[in-house]
Amino acid sequence: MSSLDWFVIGASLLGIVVYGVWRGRGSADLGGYLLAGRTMRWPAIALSIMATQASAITFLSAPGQGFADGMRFIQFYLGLPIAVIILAATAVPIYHRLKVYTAYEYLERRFDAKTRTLAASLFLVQRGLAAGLTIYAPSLVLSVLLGWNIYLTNLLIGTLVIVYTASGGAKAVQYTQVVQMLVIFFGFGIAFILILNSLPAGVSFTDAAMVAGKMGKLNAIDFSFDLTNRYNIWSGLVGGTFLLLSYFGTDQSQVGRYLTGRSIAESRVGLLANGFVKIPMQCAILFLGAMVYVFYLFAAPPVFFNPVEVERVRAGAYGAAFREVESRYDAVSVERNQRVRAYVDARHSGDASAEAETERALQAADADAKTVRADAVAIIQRNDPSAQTSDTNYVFLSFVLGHMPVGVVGLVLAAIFAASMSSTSAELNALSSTTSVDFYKRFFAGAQQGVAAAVAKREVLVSKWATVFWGIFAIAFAEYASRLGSLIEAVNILGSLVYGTILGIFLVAFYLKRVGGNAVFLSALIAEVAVVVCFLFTDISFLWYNVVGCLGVVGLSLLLTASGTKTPEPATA
Amino acid sequence: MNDDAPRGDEPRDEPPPILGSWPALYAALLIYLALLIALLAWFTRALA
Repeated sequence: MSSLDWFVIGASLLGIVVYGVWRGRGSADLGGYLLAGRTMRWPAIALSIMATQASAITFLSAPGQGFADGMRFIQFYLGLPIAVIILAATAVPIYHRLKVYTAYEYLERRFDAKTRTLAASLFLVQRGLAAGLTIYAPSLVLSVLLGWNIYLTNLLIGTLVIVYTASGGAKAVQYTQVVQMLVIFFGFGIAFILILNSLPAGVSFTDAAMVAGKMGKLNAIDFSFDLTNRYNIWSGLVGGTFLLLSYFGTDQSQVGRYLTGRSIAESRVGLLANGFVKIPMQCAILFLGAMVYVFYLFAAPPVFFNPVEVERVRAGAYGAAFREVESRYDAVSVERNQRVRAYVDARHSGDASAEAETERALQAADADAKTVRADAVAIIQRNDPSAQTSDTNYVFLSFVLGHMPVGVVGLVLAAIFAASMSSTSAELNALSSTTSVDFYKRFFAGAQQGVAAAVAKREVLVSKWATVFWGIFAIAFAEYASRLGSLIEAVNILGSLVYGTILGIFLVAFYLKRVGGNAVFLSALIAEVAVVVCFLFTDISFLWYNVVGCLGVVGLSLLLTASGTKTPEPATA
Repeated sequence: MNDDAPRGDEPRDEPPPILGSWPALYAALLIYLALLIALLAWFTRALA
């Protein structure tokens, strides 16, 4: 990397930390520290919600998914508008009216302390580990492609986030997220334009889109119903709605963002704005990956995008076999290159039969290239059965490092760091809120004595230390995270293991007033076991775990209540 | 406890900045989603 790239990265990181510390100063009580004094307007809330959801994993893995698997991943987000409408209409006004700090606080007011503690504990475990992955994912990719030390990269990202999040709380998180989203939009916007400009002379945007479509990369919607198919319109609309209802409605890292709104309307609009923006934004990122695929049809792509695994196999017992596969891949790439040019020429000539013929030839060459690539992956696995055989996370950054001009490389890396920091800071703020409000304040409230200002100061101090603790926990988990396939899916799978159950508890709380604490608590335990059984012993796609967990809690709660299980009256606020 | 019952010190439920009412804004978002799905489905069929 050039010194200009280093300057862009360094200035961005330093600027974000200094800005966060400056904007976050002066929070004297828990409301100011954990909820920014409930003073935020909807544009800041909207960007903050978006920045929390879109981590570095999103920006590294999603273009790779677009490259490898086309645009079908977009269906995962189809439930998002439905989920935010339901939450804007129901959860947002309830949380605001009760003036809660965390979503779990509401559960004690509705049920009892044990249900609140169960949901808060599930959140702490899941989100604490996810925060580690949020730091680890970009560090892994950067260490492989740039040779950076992964431990130091984890430590750098984690420490910078701890500094401004612990110092300024929610205000620092939210104001820096606005800046981080602007860096991300700018960085990826420039990258998008440059990718289209990188196509050979005579190849237009329409040509590129047509080629991507013929290669099966623009398969955005699949109407077939199949429970084992991870992404189709039904899993997106049903499973995705359940997952995103749980994520936006019960995950404190998101609830904490819109609870900072100065009114119900500000929180609602901030949430709904994501329903309008998220799908087009995700489409653009996946389309970027499809365009990188088209770019490599005209160029000479590596057979495998993870250079560490490639070097390992080259140096191992299968080195000769791998080099032979690389030579074959170069040959089929040249063949594919000629055929894609022939297809574009045929398109320009307007000769339909020539276009159809060259299209078939191109698809045959692409199939050959995929076969050779599969051979390469098989050799990598034979050489080391524990090798990472998915290279989707490395595709986009490999392209940026190899084909983007000086300065833009630094800008894209700054955007990736910004994305990592924005998600991590919201996660640490949420973990701190839950620890201090649902555990410290809840169970040690009796020990708090003295004047109100001193109590408030102590609570803020506890929250700051909780932020530091969870930051260190996340860094520690990042340092020891094991190898994973597609990282974005790993985080979503982890979330799906508990989100359905938590959502079920909240749905019962919101809509089934007859159900009491004991019934919902027992139902939640049984439903969680059912979800784990699905994960361990079935092939059901992970999006459906949310449905199983949620309907399990709701159904069992109704059953237990109807069968006369003794449940206590809801506690009053 | 009635979660939905208003209290004196509660935040007011204001109308949205556009379209006049919350149901209208929710309906607009659902229509937008339907149009997006239709557009993506067309995109898939037209370019595949």
